[in-house]
Amino acid sequence: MRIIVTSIVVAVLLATAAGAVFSMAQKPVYQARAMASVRIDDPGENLVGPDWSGLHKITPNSTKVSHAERP
Amino acid sequence: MPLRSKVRALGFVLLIVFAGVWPLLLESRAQDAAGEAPNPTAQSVTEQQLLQQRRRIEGRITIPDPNAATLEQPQGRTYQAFHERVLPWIGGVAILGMLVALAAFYLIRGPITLDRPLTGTRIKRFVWIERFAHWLTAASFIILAVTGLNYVFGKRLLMPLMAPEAFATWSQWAKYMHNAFPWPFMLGVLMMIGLWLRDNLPDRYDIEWLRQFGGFFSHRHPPAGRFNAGQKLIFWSVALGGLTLIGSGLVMLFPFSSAGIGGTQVAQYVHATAAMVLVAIILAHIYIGTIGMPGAVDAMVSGDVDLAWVSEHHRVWFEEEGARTADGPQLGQGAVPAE
Repeated sequence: MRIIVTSIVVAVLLATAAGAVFSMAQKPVYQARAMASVRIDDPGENLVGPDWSGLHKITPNSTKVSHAERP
Repeated sequence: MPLRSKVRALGFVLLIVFAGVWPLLLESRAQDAAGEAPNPTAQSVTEQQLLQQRRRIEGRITIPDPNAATLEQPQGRTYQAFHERVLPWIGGVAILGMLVALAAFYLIRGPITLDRPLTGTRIKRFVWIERFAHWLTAASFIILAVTGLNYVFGKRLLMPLMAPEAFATWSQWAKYMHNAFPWPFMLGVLMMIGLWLRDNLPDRYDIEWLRQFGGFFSHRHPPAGRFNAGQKLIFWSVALGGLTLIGSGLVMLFPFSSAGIGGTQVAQYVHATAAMVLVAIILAHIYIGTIGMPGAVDAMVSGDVDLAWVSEHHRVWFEEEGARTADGPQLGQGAVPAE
C-alpha cells in the first residue's frame, strides 16, 4: 500500500511542478498577443454563454444569440 | 397602293421598331431598379466562391496572432460535428458497452478462482520500481480520464446536476489538471515500456492462450509466461495508446507550435478517440485485476503472490523461476522453492 501512496504523491508533485512551469511560461492570449499599438481585452470567463452545446444560431435580425433554435 | 397594303406595311415597320426598342427598355428598367448604377458587390467574388477555391476565408490583420486572420474555416464545423455528435456516441458505446460486457461476464462466469488452495508461500512477482511505474501511470490516467471525459460528457451529465457557476469552476480546474497530469503519465508510460517490453513480446504460448480465451469459460488454465496473452494485449494497448495520447496531447498542449488549425483538429480527433477506447480497455483491466481474479491485485500492491496462484495462472514463468533460482533466493524466509 505504501507504494501506491508514494506513486500518488509523486504524481501530484510532478503535476504541480509542471503546472507551475506552465503558468510561468505561458500567458493568456489577451496578454501574449497584445502589443504597444494593440490592446486585446480580457475576454472574461464564460465565452459561450449558458448554452454549451455549440449548436446555437445567430438570429437574422439580432446580434444576440438565440438558444431556442437548434438544427 | 391600296389601303390594305398600306396597313400591312405600317404594321411591319412598327414590328421592326418595337423589336429593336424592347431590349433597350428592359435594360433601362433594370438600371432603374439598381439605382441607375452598376453594382460591384453583385459582380464581385462571393463568399461561397472563396470557400470553394481556397477552403477557407482569410484576411489581413495587424495583430501578431496569425491565426486571427482566418475568418472562416469549414473544417471547424466538421470538427464541431465530431465533438458534439460522433464523439459522445463513440465514448458512450465504448465505455457503457464495456461495463455491460463486464457485468454480464461476472454474472455468467463469476470470479476466476484457483483449483487448489493457497499454499501460504509467496513469490516476488513485481519489484518496487515496477509497481511504482504502474501506480504512477494509474493515478495519472484516472485523473486524466475523469477530467478528459468532462470535456465530452460534463455539460451533458454534470451540468444539469449543479449550478452553471459550479460546473464552470470545476471545468476550469479540470482543464488545469488535464494539462498538468500528462507529465507523470508520460513518465509512467515510458517506465512501463522500458521495464516490461521484453516480457510482453509474443511467445509460443500466446496463440493457445487466446484460442482458449484464457480458459475463462473452460475453467482451465492455459500455460503462460510472466505475462499471458491477455496481459500482453493490455500492455500494448497502454503502450501504443499511451504514446498516441502523448503525441497528440503534446500537439494540443503547445498550440500551433507544431501544427496549424487543421493539424490541431486532427490531433483532437486522434486524442479523443484513442482516449475513449483506452478508458474502456482499462475498465476491463481494473475488473480482471480486482474482483474478476482474486489474488491478482496482490501482485501490484505488495508485489508478492501465492505460489498456488502463480503456478496456475503463469505456469511457464513459475517453472522458469523455479529452475532459475533453485535455491529460492527470491522467496521469503521459510518459503520453499518452486517444484
